[in-house]
Amino acid sequence: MSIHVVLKNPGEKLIHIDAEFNGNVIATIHLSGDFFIYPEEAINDIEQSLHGMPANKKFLEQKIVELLKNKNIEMVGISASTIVQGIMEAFLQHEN
Amino acid sequence: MKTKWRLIVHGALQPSWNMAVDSALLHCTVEQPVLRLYRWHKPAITIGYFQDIEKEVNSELCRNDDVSIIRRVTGGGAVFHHEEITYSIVHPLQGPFGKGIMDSYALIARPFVTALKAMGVTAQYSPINDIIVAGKKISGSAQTRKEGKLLQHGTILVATDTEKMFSYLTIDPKKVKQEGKPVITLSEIVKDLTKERIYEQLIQAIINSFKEIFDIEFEEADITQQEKSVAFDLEQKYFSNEQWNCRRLSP
Repeated sequence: MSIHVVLKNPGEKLIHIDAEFNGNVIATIHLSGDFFIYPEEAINDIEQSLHGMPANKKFLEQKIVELLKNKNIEMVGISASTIVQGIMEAFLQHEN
Repeated sequence: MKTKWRLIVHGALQPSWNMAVDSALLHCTVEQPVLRLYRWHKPAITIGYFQDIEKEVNSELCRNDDVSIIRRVTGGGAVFHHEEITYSIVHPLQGPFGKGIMDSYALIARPFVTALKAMGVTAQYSPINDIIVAGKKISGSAQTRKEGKLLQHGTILVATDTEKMFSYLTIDPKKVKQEGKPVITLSEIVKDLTKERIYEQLIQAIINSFKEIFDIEFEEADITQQEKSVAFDLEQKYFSNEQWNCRRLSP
């Protein structure tokens, strides 16, 4: 079952996170909202990099930060920590 | 010598064509920067590149009211377009326009703040992508960068039916609570002019502000045959195509 979390952290844009988990592993992840990612197509890379990854805050944040750096992706109005915060909130709901 | 920009002033055009022309300008521009000013033939909604249409828009109501919903090539939020001046700028990523993304949002906001001032309206840039008057949003914008160029498009509200706007858009309460920024329009502030006079004066004020701030000259011209042809293809492939407009739906 897909879990939906909405976050709007101060100074950032709104992000919707729809995630499914298989145990503690991210089975599907879908990000949407009014943020900006440059280049735009990189949202697919971000989502793909999270598929099959364990729902671990530190690990996921590092994974996204590395991807942004390696692929020269810039996010405006959204941050790696907010994406991970949303995933962890969804995971918490999955566990409960 | 002053830099020459192309100025394109369009009237009210079809929503999907408006978005297609902006994208065609981005693809076809080689060196000369472009400022395009345009209006909307009928009310429409554009949603940001990353938005899920079902989460942002009351699609059924839009369908019933013949309000098109079009996905932009730029990020940002859903916008109800009707009585406004929309602008688009295409500029190579050079000089001050080639700096950071946030820097270029601030830079491009300057002539619009100045144009509003010329109309007696005290406005200010509100990062990331808004211009506000007394805490209320009068202008929003969105930028993409491709092939060494930037395309930024944005709106300046002349009038709006807020009741309709909020019936079409499903704005998340978290956003309303934190950002507030209810909208304000020029016709609410500039009360001694008719809407048509506001449009005329605003267009002139924007042109003057661009000349003054960027020290440029404009050459007024329409889009070229090549741009028209590219826009036609893009309109078919993307902006009037339901597959494009409805992508990024959650599972």
